[in-house]
Amino acid sequence: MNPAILWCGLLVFALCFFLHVVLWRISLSRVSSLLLVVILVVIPAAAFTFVLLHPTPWNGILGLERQQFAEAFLLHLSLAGLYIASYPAVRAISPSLELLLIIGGSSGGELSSQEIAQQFVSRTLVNARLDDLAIYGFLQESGGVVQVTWLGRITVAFFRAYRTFLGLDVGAG
Amino acid sequence: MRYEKIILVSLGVSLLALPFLHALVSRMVKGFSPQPLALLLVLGGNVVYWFWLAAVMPSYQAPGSIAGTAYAVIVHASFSLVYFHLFNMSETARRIRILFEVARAGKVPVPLFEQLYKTSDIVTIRLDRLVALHQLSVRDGRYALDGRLLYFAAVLVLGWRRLLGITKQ
Repeated sequence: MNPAILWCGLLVFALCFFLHVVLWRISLSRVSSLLLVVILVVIPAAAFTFVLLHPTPWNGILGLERQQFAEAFLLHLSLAGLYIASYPAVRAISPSLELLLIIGGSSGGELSSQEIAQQFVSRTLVNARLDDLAIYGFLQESGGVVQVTWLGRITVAFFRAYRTFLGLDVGAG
Repeated sequence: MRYEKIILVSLGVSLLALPFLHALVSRMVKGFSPQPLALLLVLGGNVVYWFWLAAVMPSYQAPGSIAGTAYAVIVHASFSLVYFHLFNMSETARRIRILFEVARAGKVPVPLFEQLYKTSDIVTIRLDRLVALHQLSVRDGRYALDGRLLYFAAVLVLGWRRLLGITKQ
């Protein structure tokens, strides 16, 4: 394999990642997850598509053929996908990781379940996620009632089918 | 067949087989916690893939075979971990659980929303899960750190949040 495929894919990911860090430090958007997808997937996809359709002079500069550009994009996409999949645990407080930090940081190094539960506020654990789901169009609130949108129903159907495929019940959350 | 084609074909076959292998294993192994099972499958699958690459690569002494191997390792590990995150989302994500609960209830008055998915349940489920993963131990009703892997991951995430400037969110 042409080593330039490896470097091209890693370089594109590094550049997108740098842009992500800079933008986030300037201002954190309410739709940061969507913005992250735009930065790590949509923009690079558009750039790679442009290069595939107009290989000159890029193939001369990078020494890659059309298929090799696609392979470089696949490498970038794999790293981008992994970071996007990991991002929710960074963006919002993951209760599991928060639990470990609370217990690890406690004096004596141990806590009862009541002491642990007191550290969590319902608003943080549930309402923050409710706000996320509403912002992205999975839930809607109307007349003091919350219900699932068509997008939410598709998501539920997908995960229900996936869990059935695995022979598992719905996750406990 | 060129080494590059071998890599691309093997990546496709291995990654497409992963969900089917997971479905088979999760049906065969009952009583095992789903989360560590999925993680073991993904990590084990990567180790098997590395051994396969190590076995195949020496046959292809063409220039760039090391770059090709590095490419295969990175892409395989990344996509298989994306799959693990997808499974983890179906198993542990609050948002998915909330969607399921609201979809089942049909319409939920906002004041009753928190009764669908209680804070105490969220904490209890996670404590049990962390004990099953050997990251916490429990004695006389008191929890303490056991393994350190996820704790260090939590410290890393905290540091990453600080770097991105989102610690106050």
